[in-house]
Amino acid sequence: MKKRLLAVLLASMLFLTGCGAGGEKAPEVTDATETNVLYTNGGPIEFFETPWLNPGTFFYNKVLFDRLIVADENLMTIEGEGQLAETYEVSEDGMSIKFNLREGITWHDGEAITPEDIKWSIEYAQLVPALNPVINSTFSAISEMTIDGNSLTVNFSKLAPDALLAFTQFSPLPQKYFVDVEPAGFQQADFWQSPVGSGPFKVKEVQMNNYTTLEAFPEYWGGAADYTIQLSPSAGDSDENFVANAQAGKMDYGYTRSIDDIKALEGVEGMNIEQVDVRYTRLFFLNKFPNADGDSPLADVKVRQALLYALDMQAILDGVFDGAANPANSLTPNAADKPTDLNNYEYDVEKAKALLAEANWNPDTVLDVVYYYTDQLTVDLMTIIQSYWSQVGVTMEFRLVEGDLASILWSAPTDPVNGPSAVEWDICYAANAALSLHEYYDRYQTGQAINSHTPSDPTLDALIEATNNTLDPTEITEAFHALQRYENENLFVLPLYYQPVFVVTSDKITKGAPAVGNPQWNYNWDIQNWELGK
Amino acid sequence: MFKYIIKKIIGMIPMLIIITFLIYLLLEMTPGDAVSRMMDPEAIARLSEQELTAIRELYGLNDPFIIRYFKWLFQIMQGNFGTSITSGVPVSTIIGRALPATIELAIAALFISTFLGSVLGVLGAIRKGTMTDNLLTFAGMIGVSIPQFFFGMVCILIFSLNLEWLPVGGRTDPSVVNFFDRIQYLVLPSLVLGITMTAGVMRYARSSMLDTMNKEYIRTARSKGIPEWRVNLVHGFRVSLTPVIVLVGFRLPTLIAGSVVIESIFQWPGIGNTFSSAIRASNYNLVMMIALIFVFMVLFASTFVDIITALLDPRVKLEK
Amino acid sequence: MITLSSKKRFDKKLDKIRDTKISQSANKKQSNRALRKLLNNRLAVIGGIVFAIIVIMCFFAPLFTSYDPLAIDMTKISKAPSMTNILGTDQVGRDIFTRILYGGRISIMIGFGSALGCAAVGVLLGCYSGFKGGLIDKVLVRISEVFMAFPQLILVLMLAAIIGRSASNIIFIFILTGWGSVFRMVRSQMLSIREEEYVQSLKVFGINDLIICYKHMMPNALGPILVNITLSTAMFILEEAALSYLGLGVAPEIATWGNILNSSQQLHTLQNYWWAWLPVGITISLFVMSINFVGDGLRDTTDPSQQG
Repeated sequence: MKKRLLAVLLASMLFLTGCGAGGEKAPEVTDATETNVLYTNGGPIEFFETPWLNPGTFFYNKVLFDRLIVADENLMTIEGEGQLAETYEVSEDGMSIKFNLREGITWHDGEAITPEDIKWSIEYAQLVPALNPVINSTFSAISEMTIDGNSLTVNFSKLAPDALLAFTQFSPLPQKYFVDVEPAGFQQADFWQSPVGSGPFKVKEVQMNNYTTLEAFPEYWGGAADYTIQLSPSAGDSDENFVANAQAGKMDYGYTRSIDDIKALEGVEGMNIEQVDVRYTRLFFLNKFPNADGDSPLADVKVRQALLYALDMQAILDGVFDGAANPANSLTPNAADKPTDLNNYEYDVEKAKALLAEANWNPDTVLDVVYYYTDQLTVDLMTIIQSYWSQVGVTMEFRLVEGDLASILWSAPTDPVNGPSAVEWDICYAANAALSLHEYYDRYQTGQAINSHTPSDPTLDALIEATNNTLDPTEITEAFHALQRYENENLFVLPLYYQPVFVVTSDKITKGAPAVGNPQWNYNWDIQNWELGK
Repeated sequence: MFKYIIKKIIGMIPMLIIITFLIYLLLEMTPGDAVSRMMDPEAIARLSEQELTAIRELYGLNDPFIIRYFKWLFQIMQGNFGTSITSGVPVSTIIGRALPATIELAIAALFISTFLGSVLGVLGAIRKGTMTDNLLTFAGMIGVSIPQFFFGMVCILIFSLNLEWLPVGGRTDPSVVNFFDRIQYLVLPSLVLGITMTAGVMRYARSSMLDTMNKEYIRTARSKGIPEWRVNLVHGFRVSLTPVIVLVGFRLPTLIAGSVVIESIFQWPGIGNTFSSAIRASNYNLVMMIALIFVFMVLFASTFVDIITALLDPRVKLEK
Repeated sequence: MITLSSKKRFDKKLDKIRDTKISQSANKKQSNRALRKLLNNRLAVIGGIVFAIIVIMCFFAPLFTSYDPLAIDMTKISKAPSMTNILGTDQVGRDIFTRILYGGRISIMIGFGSALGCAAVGVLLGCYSGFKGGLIDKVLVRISEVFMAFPQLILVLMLAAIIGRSASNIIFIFILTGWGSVFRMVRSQMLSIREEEYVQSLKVFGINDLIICYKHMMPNALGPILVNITLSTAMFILEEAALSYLGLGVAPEIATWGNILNSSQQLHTLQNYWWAWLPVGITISLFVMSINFVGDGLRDTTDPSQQG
């Protein structure tokens, strides 16, 4: 009997310890005086991501921080006006920018925002390894910075064509929180558990991987909002619970690339969906360097053209994306400043076959296609492309690559002219998202660290260089047109399609919802002026 | 008695060390390291050799594998669990905020499965061979045969989206004041996890009830004219107590595996959720610590079951 | 020489005795009774029939469908069931019925192959370990304890990342993590068989350990293993599905039940295209259930303690 009693005792002890740990402290009572709540996603799981890598991907980075200057929804800088900088001036030759800071602005902790903070932020960012490419290329062109009273002048050593764009995305940070932080360990700083920003909202409560609330920053120079924001956790721009949360009324603002999400939300009452065409191109990188087996099958431009002619992209996109994505004819997405005379490589099996015959295509060749997305859609797409190519006698096999992608995908050959290739694939399915058009093309220049696939081409080098050499809008457009035409003819990559982003808003936002732009970047949101209904 | 328990617990230590070593080895063999998971591949490819070495140095990734393992082990012995590579937050903090959620879910699921399982099992045994018994067996079988995630998603579809009775996921929200406000969040995940575990308990309870009912003293009780319901109630209760104890141990691995899947479906901010993302990120310290907890729980439970069985079974002598 | 031949003779004799015994009354009656009992268990019979139907349809899939499970058809995307596609089509126009059949081949192979593999490894090691005892036994028991305490999911998560996600690798992982329980079961059986008289006499005659162990003792320990194989087949099939859900199962281009069901992860599919997930969900559940019923039936017939 004693034994049995002991057993029961032990068992109930186990139970109780469990209960004790489970029934943890109740969260403190929030003043439930009917403050309106804006629900969105992208909340932190383990930490807040720094705004320097993906400046606008996360909702919190948009609203916790101010940038120096501000862009409109098309990411064109609004002249003269700014956020932290009340005004700014660009020198005649574009080699220097002067930012005049607002008077009396403070960080969320009440300390003044000084030109020293800004200067320090830029200098520190130059040392941080994970930095947005446009910000990175702009900052590496900076030669010196001078402080004069409440203004900061940035001088460049060489022309930085995207400098203004970079400053619409770069959020300065308060220096004092980073005194002992190694730039390589920037993201690991304590600061990112509950960042102190400069924007219209500040952090109220953080329950990591659970929920996070932001409240209006009462001293914000542009005024204070009368609602709070609640973030549900999700990683970056893919939120697997997007639809469920939206259908449950817990998503007043959000964006997604997934057409399935959008299809599920169509017809949900009170939700508005806007399609935004953004700079996001899905493509095949083609490895034209010779490999161990000899010359690359893709070195011949006729083969590359044939591969594109063999794909009925419109039909594929209609099937897979319900027609929401557009077939691509260039890395550059469709926009007003793109040449209209590009070859669209409309689906033409006969032409593809003829080109392959001209190129003496060896039917035994098997193209090795790699991809790194783990979603079903990618696999479906690969299966479809495989079947299209098989109709013109081209065999391809596809596989997922994992692990050290930097070396698997982007190891550049020692000899950038003749190779041999330092990577093993023939074709890599990937996406290019770009803030600036330069990002699409600069990587193909001779000697770029990540050019694992395109042998040195003096014509291409010259065309790319031309786009980076001027600040004159007409000259830039012309340079890009020349580059795009050359790309269209030469097909050093196979552009496949342009994928839009869908911005989802609820009817709860009654006033002041921003003009629809690319939700992944920062533009003039004026979120402090939005109004929420019930 | 104490000697026995202490011996058992000390016996767990070498096992824990071997297992942690294996996990570390596996992590080491996983293609790519923490840096290659943490940063965009293109950004890494742009870095110079020195820059990359400096970053890896910062995370202590440059030492050979064996040295890193022993460094880790040494730190653990001193009670220093290290920090998460991705966020720099102490591992203990991360686990500290995820563990209560998982324990809460596990206890709720254990409670549900134990209650349902033993009540239905005893009922099945009393009504042995009848329609009720068959139906119960059949229902139990359905419970174990449906893929957990599938069951979970259908539940969300029905109860959260169509009927709008319960939240789609998460554990709490800012308006929650006390535990009872939060129960609505707990209902679906714990039911799904609990129901999939019910069948096992039910089967166990049914057969042990049958065993007891055939025992001499029950027959005696019956012959003495004690009402049938009392016989059933008293012994049914006693029978259901055993599965609670024994099956806590047996269900633990199910609970752990289940927590990963269930937590991912219901956005439950627990340890399973943390664990799968830590593995994907090669977040060494975090993976090691959670794995250690899992292994410890399994070992502890099996030791616990050993002890309990020893206590309950008069044939097993403790002074071994 | 003489001893060797006499040994052999004894060995054969024992075989004979056993054979006659088996063919004689006892076993005949017993097996008849077992079979009758199994057949009396209506659920087990129904389970067996369902199991057989699903297996036959999967393995002779080409007889039941004329579609290619991988052939996409962009003209009929996510179409509801019709005369031409009896269970409709999926998001790239593949016939779902066909995919379930062909996917079943791989899923069943994974489930059954893993269960069989676990049993093989577990029985081989367990017999020897239980029979020999000593250092080998101690080491093997420790190793099995390590694998059993190792949360299976961790091992699967990490191994899948290391050795890749083909169907055969998944089987390998399942075997690696699953053999421990069979091993322990067999070992404890052997421990008691070891003490039986015929084993002692075989030993006295100096017959090779391996022969005693695998030829004479092992068959007596196999009963519960059969039950274990059926039940763990069911478990592994469910596990394959769970891994697919976590994105760690067999590579998504290969159709398995788990991968097909996984398409229901999208709420949109779940709400609008019931044919994309319900049939395969039912198939998995039905198959797992049928195996479980058969396994239960088998257990009832082989385990005397369950009688009554």
